[in-house]
Amino acid sequence: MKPIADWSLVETADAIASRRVSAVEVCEAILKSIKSSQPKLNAYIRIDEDSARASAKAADSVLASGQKIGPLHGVPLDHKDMFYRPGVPVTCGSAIRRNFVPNYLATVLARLDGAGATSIGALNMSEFANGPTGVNVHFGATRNPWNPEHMTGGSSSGSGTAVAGRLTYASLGSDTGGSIRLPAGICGIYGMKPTQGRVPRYGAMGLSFSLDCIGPLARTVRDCARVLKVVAGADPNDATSAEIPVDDYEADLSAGAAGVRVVVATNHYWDGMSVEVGDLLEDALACLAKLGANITRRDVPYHNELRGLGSIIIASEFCTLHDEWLRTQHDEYAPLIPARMKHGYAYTAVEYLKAVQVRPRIVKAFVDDVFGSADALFLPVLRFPVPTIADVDVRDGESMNEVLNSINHCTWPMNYLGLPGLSVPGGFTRNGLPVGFQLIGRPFAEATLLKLAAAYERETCWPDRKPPSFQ
Amino acid sequence: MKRVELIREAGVTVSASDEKKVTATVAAALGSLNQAVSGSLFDTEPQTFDIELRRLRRSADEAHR
Repeated sequence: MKPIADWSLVETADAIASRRVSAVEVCEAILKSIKSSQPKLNAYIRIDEDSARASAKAADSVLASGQKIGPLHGVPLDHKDMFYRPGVPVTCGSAIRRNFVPNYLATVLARLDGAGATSIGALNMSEFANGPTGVNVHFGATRNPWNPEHMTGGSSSGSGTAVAGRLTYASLGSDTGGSIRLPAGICGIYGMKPTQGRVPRYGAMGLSFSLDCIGPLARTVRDCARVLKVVAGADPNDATSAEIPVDDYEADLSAGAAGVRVVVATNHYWDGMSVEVGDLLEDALACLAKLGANITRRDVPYHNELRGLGSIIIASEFCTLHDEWLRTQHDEYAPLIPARMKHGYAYTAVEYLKAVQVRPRIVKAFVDDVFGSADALFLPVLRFPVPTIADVDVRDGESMNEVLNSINHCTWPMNYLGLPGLSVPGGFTRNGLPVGFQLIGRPFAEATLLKLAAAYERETCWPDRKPPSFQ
Repeated sequence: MKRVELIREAGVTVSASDEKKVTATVAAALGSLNQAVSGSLFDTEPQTFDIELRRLRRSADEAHR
């Protein structure tokens, strides 16, 4: 039998519900993995052993009493340290908020609680969710479970490492320019950036209120679907959350890829593609074609505009949220953060509002053009093998923009468009590090992306491969 | 006024290294903005991005029926 930590989320939930294992046994197995790997991987900012054991014990008591249980009952899920729970410190990966204790509960945590999930601790992240590498000067870099010398991607770095490293069964991250899709693709797991508004953000740290999205990172498509279903849906506390009904994402995952129209963007996203990564992405496309997907290739519009438009909005909104601290506690940030974001002060109100006002026009033109004849857009995650931490730890040096923009080159444009994007594991380069690709869909078409990824998963079985053990 | 002066006016430190990066980033971003906003925005509804996403979802649903 596989070790408990190697079970998928769904297998674990089923095993607990059918009493083949107790929540306490699962908690102990995961705690053991976390404690032994933490010195090497640094996935956690905080580990709460006592409360983890208490909540696991409570989950077993509920089960023993015969009460109705939720779809995540007794399963430990840990998240990027930016979701608020009354009385529990939330650092946001920063020194400035090291001692912040919120007094209200994030909607996504309330929904996970309602589904029966438990928690063991809080995961590392890029400072204030800002940075695509996983380097954090305050809490140390999170390390890739496939090779700790290599970066995890960010900003949901701990989420990528913990899920891939078998330290938690799934994790919530946030994505404003690639922060779910990058660590998922770089750590060899799934990561869903949902449609803007699909998942409520009440009680989650904000970076850019126009572009932030919350979504799951998970080891299997079904795990990803289950967590998304639990956290998605309108929220009276978040006026920006969408009233669109939530699909049953686990239904029809066996539908297959036959007849699904996949368009491959041939411009921009493939510029400078490494031969090795390009070959692996072609293998993935060949696999989708073998499964019956109809693959076409074409240029897609607006790539030149999307980086700049997103940049104006993110930086302006970041500076709005951080204005007080940028003026009075500037030196408490890692130098990279203000260096990367302070251009937000340099736009006029008219320029910012033009970037906001033209957004619906551009998303409509993009969706009509690309998705008029396609169900999914295929994009890389990275265009090169996963770099080492030393390669990308640029601080605020001369190469900062070049290095960081090269990492989020393929993910950044989709946040301005607000479209759903699923990062899918797509194999490994010769050095043993993962390669991922993105499936982008129409607004609120998360179910379509999950079905296509599930067909690919059944054929390739990438989630069965396990990173080296650090225990 | 140079763009970096707007940052200083806001009371935020700007080093020589920041100045170079800000200048390059702002120039690129405004280039993108000018490319994206061709023509007038006069006849556009105010900030309807979320409405557009929902409209696109509904039109996709109708096309599937």
